[in-house]
Amino acid sequence: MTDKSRTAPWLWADFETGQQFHAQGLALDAERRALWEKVYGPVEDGAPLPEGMVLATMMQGYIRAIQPRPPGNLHAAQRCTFSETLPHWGATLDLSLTVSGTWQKNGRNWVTFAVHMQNGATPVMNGEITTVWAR
Amino acid sequence: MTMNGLPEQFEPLRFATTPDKTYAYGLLTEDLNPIHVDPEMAARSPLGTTVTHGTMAVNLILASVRRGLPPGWRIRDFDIRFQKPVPVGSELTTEALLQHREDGSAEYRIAALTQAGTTVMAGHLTVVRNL
Repeated sequence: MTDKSRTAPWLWADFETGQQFHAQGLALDAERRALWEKVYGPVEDGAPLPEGMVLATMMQGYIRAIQPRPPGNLHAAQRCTFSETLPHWGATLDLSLTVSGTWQKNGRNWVTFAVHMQNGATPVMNGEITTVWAR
Repeated sequence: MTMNGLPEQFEPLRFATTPDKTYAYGLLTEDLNPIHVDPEMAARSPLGTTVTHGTMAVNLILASVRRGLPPGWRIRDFDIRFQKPVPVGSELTTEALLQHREDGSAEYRIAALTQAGTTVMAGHLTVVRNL
């Protein structure tokens, strides 16, 4: 359910367990490789994709899939299981998010998203993002 | 070095965070939240300064482990908690210490620390032998 026309920020109260969001067409292209190298240094041609690039793409999809969002969210925790075969530079990945839980603790609003990312029909990673949602 | 070629500890990586690197990572992840990239706004926030994206530090740990893995092994999973924000300008150091190993897998305790010794994220990571 990624509503690109939405203008109101997603608030914690908007999330329901089982709700889904999607981000498609996350390209591991030359532009994104250049950004990766600007942060972490050169990647050898032909070298396997860094696991961190999978993680960065997961975050790109997570940010893109839920927009707009209120300022002040805190990324609290992260789990990730990588598939045995990672994609190569040049691949295009798709991500799906499912709200797996919402709760309040110590006056804060928490939400956990289960994440699945794939390269065509091939799984790339499964994971979980836990966030303190600002409002 | 353990019997299966895995190190007791992966060689730490050191990494200086900068505004340019943080901005580039924001472009990479499409996360240009002002708390990461706008010093004026960040100065008015409760944190008082710009802070890096949490996964920047995780990626360093993944790189440190990948660099030290013997052939035939791979990173299978990790589970971490972000404990403290990392002000842009901090220098980070990674840690990955062997906790437990079995035939074909091993678990490491992982962390990232600032130059002041503050742990900013911590958790566990598992490596496995390829099938």
